[in-house]
Parts: sequence; structure tokens; C-alpha cells
Amino acid sequence: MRLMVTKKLRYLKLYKAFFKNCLIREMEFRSHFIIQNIVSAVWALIVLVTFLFIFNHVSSVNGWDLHSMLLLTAIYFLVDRIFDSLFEINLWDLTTLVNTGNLDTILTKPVSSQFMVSLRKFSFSMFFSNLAMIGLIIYLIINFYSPISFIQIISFLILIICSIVITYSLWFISVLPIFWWGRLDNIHHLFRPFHQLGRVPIDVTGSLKPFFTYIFPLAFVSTIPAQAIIGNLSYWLLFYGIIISIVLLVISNKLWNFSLRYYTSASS
Amino acid sequence: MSLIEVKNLKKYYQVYQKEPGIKGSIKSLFHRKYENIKAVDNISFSIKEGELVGFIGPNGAGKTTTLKVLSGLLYPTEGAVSVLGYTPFDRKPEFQKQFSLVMGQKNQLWWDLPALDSFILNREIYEIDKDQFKKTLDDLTEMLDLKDILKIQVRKLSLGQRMKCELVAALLHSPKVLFLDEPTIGLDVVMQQKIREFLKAYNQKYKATIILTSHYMDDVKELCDRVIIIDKGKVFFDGLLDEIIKKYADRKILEVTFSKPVEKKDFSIIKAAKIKKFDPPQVIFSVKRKSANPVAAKLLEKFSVADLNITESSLKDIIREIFTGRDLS
Repeated sequence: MRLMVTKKLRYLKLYKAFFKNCLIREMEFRSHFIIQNIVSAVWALIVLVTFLFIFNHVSSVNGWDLHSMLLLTAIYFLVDRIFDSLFEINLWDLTTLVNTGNLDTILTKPVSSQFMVSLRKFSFSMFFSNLAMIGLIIYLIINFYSPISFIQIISFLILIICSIVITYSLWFISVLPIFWWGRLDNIHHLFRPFHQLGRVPIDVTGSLKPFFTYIFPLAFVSTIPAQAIIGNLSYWLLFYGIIISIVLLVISNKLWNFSLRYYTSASS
Repeated sequence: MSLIEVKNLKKYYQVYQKEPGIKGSIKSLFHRKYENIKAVDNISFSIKEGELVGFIGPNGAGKTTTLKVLSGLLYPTEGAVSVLGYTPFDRKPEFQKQFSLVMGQKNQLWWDLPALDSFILNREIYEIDKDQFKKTLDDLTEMLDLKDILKIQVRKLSLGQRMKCELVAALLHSPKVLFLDEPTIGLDVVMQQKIREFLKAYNQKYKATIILTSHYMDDVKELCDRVIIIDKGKVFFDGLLDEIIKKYADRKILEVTFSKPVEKKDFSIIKAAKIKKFDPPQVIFSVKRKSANPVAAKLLEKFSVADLNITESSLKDIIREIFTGRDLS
């Protein structure tokens, strides 16, 4: 147990070092930083505004009204942007690393190689977008979902972490075929359309709902975290969310190690 | 006790062949003809602590593949490999903290940052003690004469400076085993010499075990006592550098300076002598080892010779002859 704690601390320290280097680098490219932030904020804003138009005509979609729909979308974008900040830039890089053979320099390091390829870089371009989404969620809670219990908030935060872990694991697994298929520049986009499904309340998928909850758990992307705030969450799902996050993370690690056997380390 | 042990190592790749042009590409979408490439085909050797061994061989001989298997990057098709008592592909952190792989064509330094920032990151990755880190870094920058460039962005450095920084990054954790793949590639002669001197000094100072691959025969000649020649995935020769010369140099070089003008056709009477370089008054002949003395005698008898010198053929020539398959005894 003690060993595990020191190991965690070590990875936290290591992440701090990666983060520091990225911050130094990011400051070199100021205009990139500003423009990326504006683009990502505008994108989220447009999606949110479309709901105002839609709910001018209907009052609810399968039990989801305008406010819960805005909440769901804000959560989706928050998770999506956190994923982008932490992982997307790295998964994009992974294709290049495998195809050029530069993965070599990572694989020889005495650190979990999955950790290195997944978290080596941090993207600051979603920073304001993240802040805006957090602000929107707090606004919606205060105006439409208060009073809110402490347990609800804790459940929500745990489910957000589950959402990020599930998204990461599935996304990471979807990228692994590069070890066999070679040059696939857009493979890190393969999972995005599936992930977009998480923007829809899973209740509307009808008979597919159990599938999206338990087997291919896109319900945990934003529907279930939103339910924690709305107040109709069954606590069994909180428990299941933690379990499935751990299971998927372990599977992603096993598949990663398996895929490395097929790494050919291109060029000399 | 050997530090590195390789037994019957094989590494095969599957590659598919594509006929040229669009037609070939469309065909290959549906049906691919696969072929097994034997990058390494049944190689065995062992290396003792502190040895500095050179791998030589033509492009695609399997040198780099062998180094990559030893580093745990590639999963061997067959055979047993042990480095420092570990199986490299397990990639145990305890093992990885004790070796380093430097590749002339790949870099681990962060492109947009000064090298020093990458070094500090490596300190975290390898969990190097702060005082130890400072000591090693000072020592390495001193040896490589790097003081002034550590705080400059890596992308602004010259190739030679970058290579030196790559070496520092790879050596900060004081590895016991060092694999160097073409460390001098693309560098000018002066820089090559500096890197060589550094490696020699490092090997002596830290007693590190080093395997080096290089296309430059000078690298091998100056650094390694022992060489392993690899060709077509197999070990062709494994032994001391001097032995190659004894075993494969069946020719000697005769450097003759004539005191009277000579012409090429004058030498047709001496059949055993091949002219290597005709640059009157100096002519260089290549002669079979056993006929070196008779040829020298004949030259002295038939021509007026100012100076005559018999030497061994250069390592470069021997290796070239081995790989082109000519004149092999």
C-alpha cells in the first residue's frame, strides 16, 4: 500500500514536470494559445444556442427540458475539453511516434509507457472554454437545481472523473490498430463520432439504453453525471461507473502492452 | 560473467510487396503478397562488463534491429536475450534505469525547449538524486564542452551540438550499458572525432559497457577492440579487430616511389601485382599476401626504386571486400 502511494506521488511529480515544460513551450506561441481558446469557446457557445432555438418549439424531449439539456451539453463539453487538454494532443502524436519510430525514446524510459504516451503533453488551448463550461454548470445548479445536497455534488464529481476515464480508455483503445495498420493519420478521430453520441440523453435511445449503459458505456459520458445533479440518479450506477472505469482502464493497459509486441520501430 | 547474452536470436518481419503504380496499389488493397524479412537470423554472442564492442555491417544487415531487441523495443521472434540479467522486452524500470539507447537519427530532447529543461525532465524520469544530477551534468558538460549552449532552444542548435546534448540526456543517469546506433551520422569530421574521444573517455572513466554501430570505419577502429560483423542477419565474424586483418586481409599494400619515370604498361610483366593507384613517381600496388615479398624483389630488380614500403591493407578496404564478396579466402 505504502509502495503504491509513493508510486502515485512519483507520477504526480513527473506530471508536474511535463506540465511545466508544456507551459514554457506554450508561452512561445502566444497567438496560437489565444486563437485556439476563442475557437473552442465559440464552438461550444453555438451548440448551446441551438438548444434555445429547438426548445422554442418543444418543451421537453423524453423528459429532458431546456435546462437539463443545457446542463447535459455543458457537462459533455467540459469532459470533452478536459479530454482534449489532457489526452487528445498526445493521441494525435502517438500516430506519428509509431510511424516514425520515435516511440523508441519513450519505451526505453523507466516509466509506464502508457502514462508517457498519454500524458506527456498538455494543451492549454481549451482553458477558457473549460472555465466557461464550469461557470455555466454552476449557474444552472444555482438557478434551477438548488438546493443540492452534498452527496449529489460528490457523486457528480466522481462521475465526471469516471466519464473522463471511460472516454480516455475507449479512445485510447480505438487508436491501437496503428501498430498493425501503419499510416492512419486520422485514427484518433475514429472514436469521436461515438463520443458525440454521449451528447444525447441516453434515455432517447430506447431499447439500446442497456447496451449504452453497461456494455459500451457512453451513458456515463454526460447523461449519468447530469442525472446526479438533476437528482434522478440511481446510486447503483455510481457504483457501476467506478467499476467499469477501472475495468476499461485495465483493459486499455493490457491491450497497449499486447500491441507493443507488434511495434516495428520504423527507420534506423 | 557476461553482462549481455544473446542466444539464437531471430527477428522476422512481415512486409507486403506492392507492384508499382496505381494499378499495383489497387491490387494490393484486396490481395497482398506477404514476405518474411529475416532482419536477424540466428545470432548469438556474449559481451562482458566494460567491453566496447563495434557492430559493423552494410545497411539492413540487422545491427540496429539487434540493438533494438537488446533495448526491449522489439519483441524477438525466437531466441533468448539477457541484459544485466533482465529480459529486455519485460521493460522493467530497474533494468531501464541502468541502460541507455542513443540513436543518431532520433531525438529525445524537446525541440522547442532548451536542452537543460529536457535534462531536468530526465532527472524526474530516472529519479536521479539532485546532487548526483548536478555532479554528472557538470562532468558531462565539461567533457563535451557544452557550457554555453544548454540554455538555448534545441531547434536553434547545430546538428553536432544537438548530438552532444542527446548524449548528455542519455548519460545523466549513469547507465551501466550504453547502446549507440550511428552516433556520428551526418556530423563533420572534426565533430566525429570529438564524439569519439568523448566515448572513449567515458568508457574508461565510468567502466560502462558499450555497443556501437557505425558506418564510419574510423569510429570502430579508434574505439573498439572487439568487433562483430553482421551481414544478412547473421554473425559473420566475432573477435578482435586485429584478427580480421589477419584472417581476411589476404592482400598487402606496396607503396613504391620510383626514381625514374614509369608507365602503367611497364608493370604488366609482374602479374601478381594489381595497381591501386598510379600517381608517378609513386605507385601503390595491391598484392596477395604470399607474393608480397617476391613482387617486391622483382620491382627492385627491374626498376630503379627510391622507396618501397609494405603495409597491411586498411580496415576499410578489408570490410569492403568482405561485403562485396570479393577475394574472400
